[in-house]
Amino acid sequence: MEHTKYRVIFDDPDRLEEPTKVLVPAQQWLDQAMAGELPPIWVYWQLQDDEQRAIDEGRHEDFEHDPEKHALQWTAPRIGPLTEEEAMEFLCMKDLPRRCWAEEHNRPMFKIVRTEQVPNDRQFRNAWEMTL
Amino acid sequence: MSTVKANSFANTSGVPYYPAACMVTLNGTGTISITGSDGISSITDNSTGEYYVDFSNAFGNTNYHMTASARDNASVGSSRPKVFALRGYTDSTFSTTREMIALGQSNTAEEIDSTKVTGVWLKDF
Repeated sequence: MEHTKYRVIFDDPDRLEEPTKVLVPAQQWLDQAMAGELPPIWVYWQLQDDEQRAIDEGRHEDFEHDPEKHALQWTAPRIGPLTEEEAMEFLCMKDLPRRCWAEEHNRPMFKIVRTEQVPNDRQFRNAWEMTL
Repeated sequence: MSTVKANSFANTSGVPYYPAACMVTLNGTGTISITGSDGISSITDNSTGEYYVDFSNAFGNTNYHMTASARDNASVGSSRPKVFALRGYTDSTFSTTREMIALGQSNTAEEIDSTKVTGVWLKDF
């Protein structure tokens, strides 16, 4: 069992009618982040943007990433070791829907919390709405 | 016993080659947790029986191999969980960066959680 210290609770601004979601970091990925093995975040954003553009333009069926951009995940200079808290912020920018954190909303869309703060009961959790 | 060590791979033409395999086993009941994983950065509890898996590194395309399975959920009577969907973030497309595993009861298709859900994704070589 992986026992990571933090979770991210978030609402997807495009799906506000859905329950609040809980993101769990993978231990191996956190270890890599804290060992300084990650590329800059723009490497991931570039790939996400290219794929989204292909979806929007209706050419995703045969979509292939540009090989050079794809290889940057392994070849770009590493960003150096992160603390666990910095790694969680990096993960939010990588794995949360970008509108969660890149746009202003009239209430918070995500929060990094300690694992023990997440209620164990799903029905209780489904009734949540994030507030200030 | 010998150990194979390599810093990089290339095909016979010298073109760099990046193996990719992602796998996760998670417990979707209670507070969702990861039992074990490799090649993923996170999982997300989307709602009952719906879990997103984000890959550490994007695949080069969506022609990867994938499979998922789930353990019986004894608390849901005689119904058995069945993996009824594997898909990307949007309903109609797969994604190179994330995948969703959805579980439903085999008799009603109503979504349910399971204590053990495993997903495996392998690059198409």
